[in-house]
Amino acid sequence: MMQDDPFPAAERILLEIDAVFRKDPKLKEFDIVPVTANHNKSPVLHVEHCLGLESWCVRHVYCYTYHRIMDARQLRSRREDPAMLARLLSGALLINPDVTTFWNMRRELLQAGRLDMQGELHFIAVLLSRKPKCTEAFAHRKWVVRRLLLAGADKDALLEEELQVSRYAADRYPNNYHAWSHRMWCLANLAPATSAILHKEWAASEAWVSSHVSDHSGMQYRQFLLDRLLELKHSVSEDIVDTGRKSIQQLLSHSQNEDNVDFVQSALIKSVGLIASELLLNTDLILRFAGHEALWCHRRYLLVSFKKILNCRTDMNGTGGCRYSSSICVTRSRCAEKLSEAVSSGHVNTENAPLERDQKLSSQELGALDRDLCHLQGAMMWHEAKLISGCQPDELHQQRLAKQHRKWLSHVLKLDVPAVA
Amino acid sequence: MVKLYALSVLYKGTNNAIWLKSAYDLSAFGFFQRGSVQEFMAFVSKTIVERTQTAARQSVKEGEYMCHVYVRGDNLGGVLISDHDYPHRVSHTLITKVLDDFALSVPAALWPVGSEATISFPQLYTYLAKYQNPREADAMTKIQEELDETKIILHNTIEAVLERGEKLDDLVAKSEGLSMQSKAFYKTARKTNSCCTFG
Repeated sequence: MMQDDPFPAAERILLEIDAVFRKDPKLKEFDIVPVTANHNKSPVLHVEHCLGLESWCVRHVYCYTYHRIMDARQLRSRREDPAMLARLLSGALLINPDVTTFWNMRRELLQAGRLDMQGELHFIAVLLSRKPKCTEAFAHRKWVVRRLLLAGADKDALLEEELQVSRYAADRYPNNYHAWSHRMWCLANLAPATSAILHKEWAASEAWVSSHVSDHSGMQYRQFLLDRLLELKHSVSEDIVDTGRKSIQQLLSHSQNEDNVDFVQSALIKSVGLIASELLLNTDLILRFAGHEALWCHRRYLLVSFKKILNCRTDMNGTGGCRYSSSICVTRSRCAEKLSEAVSSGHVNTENAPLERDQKLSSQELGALDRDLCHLQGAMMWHEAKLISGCQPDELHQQRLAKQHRKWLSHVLKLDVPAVA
Repeated sequence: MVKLYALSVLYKGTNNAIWLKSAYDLSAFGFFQRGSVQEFMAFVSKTIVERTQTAARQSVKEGEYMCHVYVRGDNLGGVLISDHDYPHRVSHTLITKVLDDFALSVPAALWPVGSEATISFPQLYTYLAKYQNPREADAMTKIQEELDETKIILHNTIEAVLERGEKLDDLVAKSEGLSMQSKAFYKTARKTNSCCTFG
């Protein structure tokens, strides 16, 4: 490209960008502003905590920084001044953050203590405002967070900041897989062992998913949360249990079975309740926002989880006396085992019974549990059939998705969809 | 994302349309883009109302956006710009409701001579904020039922709405409502969307 373009203004522009980062800790956005002509004034704009770079200079600044950086990399002995190198890297990364070499050089500077770790987090956050799904930026961020953790930084403050940044990036780019997997990583590595944060995230993600109905990645995050909540050894919050109980009742009340089952098995209230409430939410969203495949995919995940719980129960009991389960092909996946452990620990292992604290199930109660599960499965299938038939005939795409769902139920889940009058 | 970006009320005169009142929610856009985005939404609203027949409804897809328009029998027009996830039916319900309200609070004599500055209709912003959640429209069942009997024309691009021989690029270049910066913005966006070239 323009290898011999010295562009004397570049250094000044880089200094200005650096100064903005230094003097404005609340800086939140960076963008390139398209302009038609060079008006012979500074191309660096700084308004309301937003940094802008006029488009005419982008090409020159990038070429300049790129060549200076590459020269510095090749001639390691004659090192650039570290402060200068940091400025060059900032400028180059803001314009094009997808170059791993730049990030690696940044890491070297951080390791040598030439750059501040907190400042680096701020820089990445600003950069993500223009390129919200930049993998390199998220990878670098993880690296910085890990180092801060090793240095004994405050975990809670870090977690809060990371959650905020990943939400911001997810808001700015649809299906932002990188932002959501960063969030999962943060929950796994930074969150305390208590369930409080999971509950908070679960509630927040409900609101998010309801307003982003075609976002596969946002829903995948919700599935991640659901799994974590199901695995949880501690009991879940009263709110969730309550909603769960109500949802189960609602699910059952819609079934063709008239006798309403009074749910007493507390072991199931949590897991089945969680999935039931999520299914009802999903139903509502599918009917309200027609034709979004993401919602139907999420539904499949829920139904698979639901069936795992039902399966591991009948499998464990060995009776299989349920009339609905006769056609179920039982495969004990690892997850199912885990769940069966959780469900059964009440009567198998009272030492560390997490779910039913003081309950030991007799065979009679076990029978009741099986009956309840049968009812539930029947109700669930009835609910599916209602949903499939409830799709508006004029929405062609929705019809297609519903048809696929019916096929999936019978071929993959191996359950028959009852006819709805 | 389920999002409403712009809601405007216009009057369709014999030769051109005039803006009577507009409301925007551009928080989803970057700070430096907002100005241009707003100018473009205003420009598109006007262009579309001018090319919609009296007493007709249309929905136009353009990139990531949906543009819904309704021009009433008395030439009062409403335009709602949303994203693809926002239910179309609710959009048209909302336009109908807003235009009804507007007709009640602003006398018809003012429409042909009105402008953003002279017409007071602050409710427009309330509507835009409230109906970000489409559940709010559940109560307007009467309008929804009427809508079910109406035909809404769906276009796949904005070019499809334009008259024969018209080009969007030419309209943008000619437009007086768009600043130089917005035109540059439009050109950049066109270039970025058409092919991947750098520099």
